Amino acid sequence: MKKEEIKILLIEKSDIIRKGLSVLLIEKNNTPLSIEQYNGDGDLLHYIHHASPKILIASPSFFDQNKKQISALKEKYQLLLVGLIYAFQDPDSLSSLDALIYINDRAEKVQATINELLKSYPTMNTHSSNEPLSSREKEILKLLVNGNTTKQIATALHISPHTVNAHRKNIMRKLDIKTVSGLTIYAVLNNIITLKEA
Amino acid sequence: MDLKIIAANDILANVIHSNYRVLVVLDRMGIKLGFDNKTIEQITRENNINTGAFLIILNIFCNNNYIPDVGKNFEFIPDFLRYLKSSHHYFLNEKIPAIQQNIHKLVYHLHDSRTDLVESFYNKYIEEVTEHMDYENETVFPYIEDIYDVFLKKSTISSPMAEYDISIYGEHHDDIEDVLKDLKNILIRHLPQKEQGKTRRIVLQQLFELESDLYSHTRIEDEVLIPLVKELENDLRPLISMT
Repeated sequence: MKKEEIKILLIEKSDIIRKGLSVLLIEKNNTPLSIEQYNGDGDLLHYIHHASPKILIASPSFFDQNKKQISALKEKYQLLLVGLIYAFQDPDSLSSLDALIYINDRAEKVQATINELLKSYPTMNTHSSNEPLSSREKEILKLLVNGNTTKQIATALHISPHTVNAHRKNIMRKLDIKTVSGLTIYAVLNNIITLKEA
Repeated sequence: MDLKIIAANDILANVIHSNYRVLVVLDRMGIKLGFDNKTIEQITRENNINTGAFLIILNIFCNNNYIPDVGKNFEFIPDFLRYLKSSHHYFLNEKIPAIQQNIHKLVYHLHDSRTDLVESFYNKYIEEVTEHMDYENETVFPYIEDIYDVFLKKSTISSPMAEYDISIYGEHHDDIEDVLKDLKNILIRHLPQKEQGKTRRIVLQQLFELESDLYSHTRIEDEVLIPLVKELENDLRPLISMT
């Protein structure tokens, strides 16, 4: 079967960085990629509609400034978001991104990051699967709907906040429920928590 | 589905035959049925509606892939506002309460205290939507009307323009949409299978209708009205510094 070309939209003002990263991504990548470059001028929304990329690479501040449009596009096109990091960033602002590329990353690292992301791509594309929640996911769901933050859950279960977030995304994908109050209803209906706890 | 773009010389009756949901759009713009074989252009003129603005609303409503281009057609603004205001009224006073009644009925007949959560989930949704639409009705739309008046030279620059700008507006459309999607999924996948299949089906149909109606509503705000107001702000800004 012919592999489908994956479109990446690279948004970056600096010509040197944008073109450099574009070359790095194309080199030695076993998935066929096509890279669209965009220097940030003009109407982004129209640009994305026309380019219809699967992956969007841009600085975290770009994602932050265009939060509303991006999340609508993410929903519509199942866009994957990759942050291009130059300097220290507030970790909270990065939590909505699917992967990160640091300006000091070696070429291999950058390629590995994108390959890892592409691996997850087919599953991200499908809607909720028919796998049931694992016992670990139920445990996390219970803590989540009881009002614990990601950090608190991580501490309680001795795992990293990043892992908690990954579980959380999987739970939401499997159940196709995105809000915590929606998850609460699911948890009560399935006796994961009692009505009193809700 | 690749849909044809609706144009000014199309016969409005035919548009309804190809997508009956546009009936609510006519209602919101005050167009009465019984218009024979008249074209969209004729009907909008008779009803004092801007044809260009009306076509954009219709096309967004009928086609999710339609990319509107409003340019600097500031004269579209009043009809966009008219449409948005009257759909707010429809959502808040007709559609959302009708769904509320059916959800109440559904939950009541399930005789399971756990399912009461579904009702409170929807009630919380109503609160959020109401708050959001009230904010638009009371703050955003009057602001747009004010600066449109400045554009028409009906009034001079006054305080609102200096204090507010349209980029402050918006943010939480997405959360509101998520709540609606979750509710649909809870009804489709997770609520126990007991009686009340019929009420459940009706609630779901209503939720799907509401969702798609809200979706085009949001697109008119985000892809048409807000960009247009930004352009207008840019054009008017030099006038502020002169005063």
